[in-house]
Amino acid sequence: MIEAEASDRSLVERMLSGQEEAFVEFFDGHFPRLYRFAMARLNQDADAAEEVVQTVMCRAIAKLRSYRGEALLFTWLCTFCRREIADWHRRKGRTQPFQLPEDSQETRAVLESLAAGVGGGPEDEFHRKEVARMVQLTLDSLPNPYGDMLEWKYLQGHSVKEIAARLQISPKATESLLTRARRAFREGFSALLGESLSPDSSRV
Amino acid sequence: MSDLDKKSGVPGSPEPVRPEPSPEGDPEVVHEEEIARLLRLAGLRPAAGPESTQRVRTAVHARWRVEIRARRYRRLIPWIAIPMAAAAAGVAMIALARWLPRPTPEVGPNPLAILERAEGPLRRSDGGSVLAGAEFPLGTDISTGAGGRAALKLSAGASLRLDSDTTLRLVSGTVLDLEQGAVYLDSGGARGAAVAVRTPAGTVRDVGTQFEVRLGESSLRVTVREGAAYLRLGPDDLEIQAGTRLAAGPRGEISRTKVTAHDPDWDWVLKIAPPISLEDRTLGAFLAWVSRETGWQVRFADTATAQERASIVLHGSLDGLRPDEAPAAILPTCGLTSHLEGGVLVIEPLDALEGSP
Repeated sequence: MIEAEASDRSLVERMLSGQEEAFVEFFDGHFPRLYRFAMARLNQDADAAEEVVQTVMCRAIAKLRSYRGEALLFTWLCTFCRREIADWHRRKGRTQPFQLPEDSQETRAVLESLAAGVGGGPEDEFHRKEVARMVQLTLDSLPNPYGDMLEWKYLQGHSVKEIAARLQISPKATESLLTRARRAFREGFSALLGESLSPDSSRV
Repeated sequence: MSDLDKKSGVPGSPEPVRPEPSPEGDPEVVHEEEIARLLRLAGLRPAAGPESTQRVRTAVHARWRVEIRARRYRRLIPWIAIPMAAAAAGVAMIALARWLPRPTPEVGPNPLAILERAEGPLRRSDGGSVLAGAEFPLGTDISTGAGGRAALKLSAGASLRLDSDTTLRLVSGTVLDLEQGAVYLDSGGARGAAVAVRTPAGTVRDVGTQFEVRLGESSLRVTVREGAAYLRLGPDDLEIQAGTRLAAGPRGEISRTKVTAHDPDWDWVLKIAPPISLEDRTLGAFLAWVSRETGWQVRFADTATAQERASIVLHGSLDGLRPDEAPAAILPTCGLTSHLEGGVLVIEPLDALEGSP
């Protein structure tokens, strides 16, 4: 994680020195994740998410010099985003409709319900969606480009060679990154669920 | 069924994208299969539409450029200020040692011009400040070097801009002597404070307008963007209407060509446009400024949007943002977007764009 933060700090330094490719890396690496972060907290209102994320990214850019790399850049942006979402709800005269599990101290309790076994009823569909959301949340929480790499490989069926070409790195380096991406995903998802993903685990 | 499947409890997941082959029973392979199953369950993460992404990218990019320029400016100030302070201290010490009175500044209570913005090399004949806010007294020569530009506010109210490699003397509040290079004058539409630009080839008089005077080695070129101007060439007064460029050659030959208000030739004028404050300015006033600076006509897609949004009060600063870049940064904050159709900036609600195919 320290490595990722150092990389974020370097990205910010390059942005502050005016490097166009640094801006592209910043925007492409963070906008999609922030957008999803906002969508989930704005009742899936796409217009509101666009408005909020634009404001957040503009504000963050104005304060870029204050980023010290003590947290991931995405985490830092999420802090702005939470505040802006609260302001948005206040401006619209709405109370924040719900608090997401990952925003509360009750993460474990909510997620434990997922492990309670699933049949075929409507509740199970809810559980399925919650797990799906947690998976996506974990992907969004990974350092760039881990989340994208995992999707390319396991959802879009890209080969290591294709991913290497996309990232403009060697296949060997891609394999190594994929291993680290899987490990990071496993740890992140385990942390969200509050238990290990080990296949030997007997807890259900 | 693995532990993860039990947790997610999803029967009948679609056919997996198989992970790369590895030895059977390898924990890494088991993990990989579990991750693949989980990802299939979740599906691709939702993404913003391309138009939405582009709108935000444009606005954030514009904001980033503002920050970068402001940062460069902030870093430049000490480099200018320290040598100036050191030089000033040196002069004071010499003056004290010789018991000489310190020279009084020549700037009177009513300066002829105030520097609003400068970029690149800029010199003034009296050795005074070339930072924004500096005052210029009667008779000052101002010169920009290669790549240098400056914007000044004349006491008569007009906006004066100097392009690169230009030398100009402030003869009076309404008379400027152009020795070389090019100047742009925008009277802001005000009448009664006409400014004359004198050149060795002839004198151009403003008639409440926007125009450029460019002096070449052996030619004079006057381009009128808005309103009209007169060029006195010997005994003749030549009227030049908006959208026209008049070129006078060394033997008095005259030619006229068409130049639109948004022609790329005006680009240098946009680059050195004085900054404006957005604070408490309405969207309508902001758009009027954009229109005047860019030469674009501004049109709302529908009357209702115009009536509803034009009175929105804006906040913040446009420091460092060119007038032609500013709409992309400001309009989305008012729920609007824009596109150019020829020289017309068409403004429409963001939601209208979302609904389009």
